[in-house]
Amino acid sequence: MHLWLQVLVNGILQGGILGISALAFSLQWGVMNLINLAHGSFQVLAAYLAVLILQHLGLDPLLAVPLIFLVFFAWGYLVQFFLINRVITSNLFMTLLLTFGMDFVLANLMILFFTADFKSINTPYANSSWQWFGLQFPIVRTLALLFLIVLSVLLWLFLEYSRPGRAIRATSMGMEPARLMGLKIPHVYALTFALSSGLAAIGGVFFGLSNAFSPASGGPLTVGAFVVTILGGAGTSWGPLAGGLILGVLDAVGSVVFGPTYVNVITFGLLLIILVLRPNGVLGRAG
Amino acid sequence: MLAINNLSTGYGDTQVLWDISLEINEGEIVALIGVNGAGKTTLLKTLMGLNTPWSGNVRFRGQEIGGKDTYYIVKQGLNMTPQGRWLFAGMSVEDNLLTGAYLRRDKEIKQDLARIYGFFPRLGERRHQTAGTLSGGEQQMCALGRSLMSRPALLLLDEMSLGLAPIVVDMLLDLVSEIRRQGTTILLVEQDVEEALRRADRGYVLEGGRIVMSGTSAGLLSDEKLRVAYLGL
Repeated sequence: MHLWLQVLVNGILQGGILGISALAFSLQWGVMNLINLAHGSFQVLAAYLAVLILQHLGLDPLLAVPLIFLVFFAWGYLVQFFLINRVITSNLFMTLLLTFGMDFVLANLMILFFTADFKSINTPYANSSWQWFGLQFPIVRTLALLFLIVLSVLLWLFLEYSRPGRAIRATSMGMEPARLMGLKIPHVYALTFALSSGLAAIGGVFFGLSNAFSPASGGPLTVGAFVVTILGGAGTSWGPLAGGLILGVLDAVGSVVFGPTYVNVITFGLLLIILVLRPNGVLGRAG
Repeated sequence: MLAINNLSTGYGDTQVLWDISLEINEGEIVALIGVNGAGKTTLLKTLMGLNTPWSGNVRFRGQEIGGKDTYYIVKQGLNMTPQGRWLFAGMSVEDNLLTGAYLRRDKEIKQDLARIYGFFPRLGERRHQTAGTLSGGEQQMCALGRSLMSRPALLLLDEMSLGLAPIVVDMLLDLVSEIRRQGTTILLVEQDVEEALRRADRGYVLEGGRIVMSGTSAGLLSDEKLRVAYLGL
């Protein structure tokens, strides 16, 4: 009984990191119909940035989160405005090709600058846990789940009640109508990608704090975000939370029942079942 | 207010409009008449910057707007209620209206919302309802309201009455006269030629992408050729 409770806790907490990552992926997909294959590499890059900030400025990664968010916000804006906007209105294949290329370049630049070795971020709390009713709550993962909840609420408030948020929603529902309202679509898209890059970077910091990573860690991160987005539905504020929790728990339970090597089988099996039974995602619309 | 000179345009290799010249004065209601495929919607889209002119020019209040960004054109005070309405279906009625006021930064947006709900009490009752769940008539009201939220100086109305019940059409067309009285100039594109000309000051007839006839509404309504071709009389 106790073992299973711990497994459940592990799964739920794993959902935090998955969910933050999917918050970004799902926003890009839902608003711009963009499947960003470089998503995972953005996250790994953020983890490396956290390492550099810790080493050179002595600033704890969690305290550096606002700074890292801003750096990736700016970088995301430029990438969308000057690069992705050039192909975003052509077919899906072109955007896949472009983001695949970006992923390739980023991963190799990271190998060049940081070597292909695995790194981890050494903080005093990286491997410690809170104890509660005899259950272990790893500090980093618990904080990640709290962050996910707070970020989901903030994103929802932003999209629902702010002027730029309304512009993003309107654009996601129709590009020509949005243009007719006087919206500058390239800027709306750049803002969307900037925001999601910032969110992806926050997810990347938490990933780096709780896992050893290398420049090749991006791929699995992209796949995870993809599955969570399919589960929760693209372009919703709550989908990533729901999808993250579902996938986290299923992975945790599955790896105990079938063995850790079968986690990917569970992830992709789930993806397949969802695509057949509920192609709009569990919680609503997909892109 | 709006002066179109020898405008030609099309899509891809297909030319749709030939040498269009048309003028609208401040405070007028001008009707644009023509059968399906005559190029009415293309002309409106080109005025709004959703399609690029091939040649000719478009001046709005003395500014050249031909080929400019839609953003710039909307900012100059031009707006369009598109055929098919183009609502943001997943957004609430009120959010649709607010998006219409996107470029405005003044403090009177709330006041204008109330004005729209005054025109259309049904929209007020359903302000938090998703626009996609409205009836056809309500959606048209929402689209018109959304355009008005930008406080346009010149409003292009494309086939407002398409697929709506006669009673709703009457109500919308009556409102067009009221909107003009409150200071918005109107270019009215309508299928119902007689209704449109009865409310307009002047009209233009578009045929095969060219202006083939123009004049005062009364003149057009009594024109033998027009009566045969468009009114079936």
